[in-house]
Amino acid sequence: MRLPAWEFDSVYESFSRMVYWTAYGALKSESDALDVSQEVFIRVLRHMKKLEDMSEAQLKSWLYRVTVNLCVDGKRRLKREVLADELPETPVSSECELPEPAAMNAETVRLVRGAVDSLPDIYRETVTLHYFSGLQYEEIAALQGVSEGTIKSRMSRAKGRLGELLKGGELHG
Amino acid sequence: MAEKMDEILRAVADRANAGVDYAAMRSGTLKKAQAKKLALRKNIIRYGSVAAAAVLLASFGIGALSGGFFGMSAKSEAPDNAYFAVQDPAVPESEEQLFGSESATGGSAPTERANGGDDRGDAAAPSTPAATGAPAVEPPGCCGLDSASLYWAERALELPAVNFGKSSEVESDGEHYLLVVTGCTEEDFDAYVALIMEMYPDAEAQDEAVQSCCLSNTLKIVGGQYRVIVTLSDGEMRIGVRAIEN
Repeated sequence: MRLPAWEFDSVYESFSRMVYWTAYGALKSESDALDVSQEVFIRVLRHMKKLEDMSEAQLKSWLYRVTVNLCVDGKRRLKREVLADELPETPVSSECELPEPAAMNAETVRLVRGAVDSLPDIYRETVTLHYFSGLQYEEIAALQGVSEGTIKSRMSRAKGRLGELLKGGELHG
Repeated sequence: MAEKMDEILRAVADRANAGVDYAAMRSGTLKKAQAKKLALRKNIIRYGSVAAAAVLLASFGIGALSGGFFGMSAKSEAPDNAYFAVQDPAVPESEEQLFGSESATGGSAPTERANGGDDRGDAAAPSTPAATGAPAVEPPGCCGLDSASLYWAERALELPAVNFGKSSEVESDGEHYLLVVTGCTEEDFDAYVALIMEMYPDAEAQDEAVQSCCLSNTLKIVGGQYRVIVTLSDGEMRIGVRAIEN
C-alpha cells in the first residue's frame, strides 16, 4: 500500500523540532540554529517533489544530513569551530547538589543549558537529539550511523560529565 | 544520579522547547523562500535578457562574417535556431516566413529545431550544441534546467550549480560529463559534494580520499545509475559524471 505523500506542512510539523535542535546542538546559538533551520526548510520547499514519496526514516535522514552540512558550512565560514574533545576548564555551577527538577528556576535552567552547551560536540549532539528533539536512541543511532550501544554509552558519559559540571566537580555518583 | 539527571534534562528540554516559536520560524521560512524566489526570477530576467542580446549580436556578427546575414549556411544556423526554438517557439516559423528560400536550402535545420524542442523539452534546450554529438564547451550555470543548475543534456541529468571558482569549462557527450573549475578551495569542494548529496538524497558515497596530491569523492546517484567523481587538486576542481552500464 502506498504511503501518503509528504507535504511541506507535514514535514515541518514532524521534523521542525529535530532540525532546530540538531542545528542548535552543532552551533550552540539560538539565532544561528533558527537561520539554519529556515534554510533547511527552504531546501525542503525546493526539493519537495523528490521528498514527497520518501519514507519517514529516509526523510529524517535527509533532513539531518542537510542540517549537519549547513551547520558545518556555517561553522567553517564563521571560523567558530570548537575542538571536539575540548572540555570546559571551569564548572558551570558551584552548587554541590544537583538541582531538583520540579523546583528549577530560570537561573538553574540557564545553568543546565550552559552545561549542556559546554559538553564536547559528540555528547552535546546526542543529548540535544534525545532530550530536546525527542528522538529515541535507535533513531539517533540510525542518523549518526553508529550502534544503539554507542549512543547509550555516549549518553551515559554525557550525563556523568553534566553531573560533574553541575555539582562543581565536588560530588561523585 | 542518572535518573535525576534524566529528569533535569527532560524538564530543561521541555522549557527550552516551549521557548522556541516554531510557528514564527515557519512563517519566516516561507517569507525567505518567497524572497529567494523573487530574487532568482529577477536574476533570470536580468541575465537572461543579457544572454539573449549576446546571442543576437553573435548571430548578426557570424552572419556578417560569413558573407551577410541572409547568406548563413544551414550548419551555422542550426544551433542558433535550436536556441530560439526553446526561448520562443514562434521565432523559427517567423524566420522561415521571413527568409523563405534561405531556410529551405538548409533542410536539416527544421528537423534539428524539432528535435531540440520535442526530445528534451524546456529543460534540455539550452544545451543543444550537444545534440550534434560534438563535445560542448559552455560556462556553468547556463546549461541547465534553470540558470542555477548544471545539466548533462545527453542523459537529462541535473547537477547542482557551481557558484565558485574563477573559470570553468564543460565537456559532455553521451558517455561522460566533465566540468573543470579553477580557483577552488577545499570549502568549495566540501560544499559541492554536500550539494550533490542534498540534490540526490539516495546518493551513496563510494570512496572518500584525502591524498597529498588531491581531495577526491565518489558518489553513486540515481539508484546507482551514475557515478559522480569530484576531485580537487591545485585549486582545480573536476566534476565528472559517468553512466554505470549494467
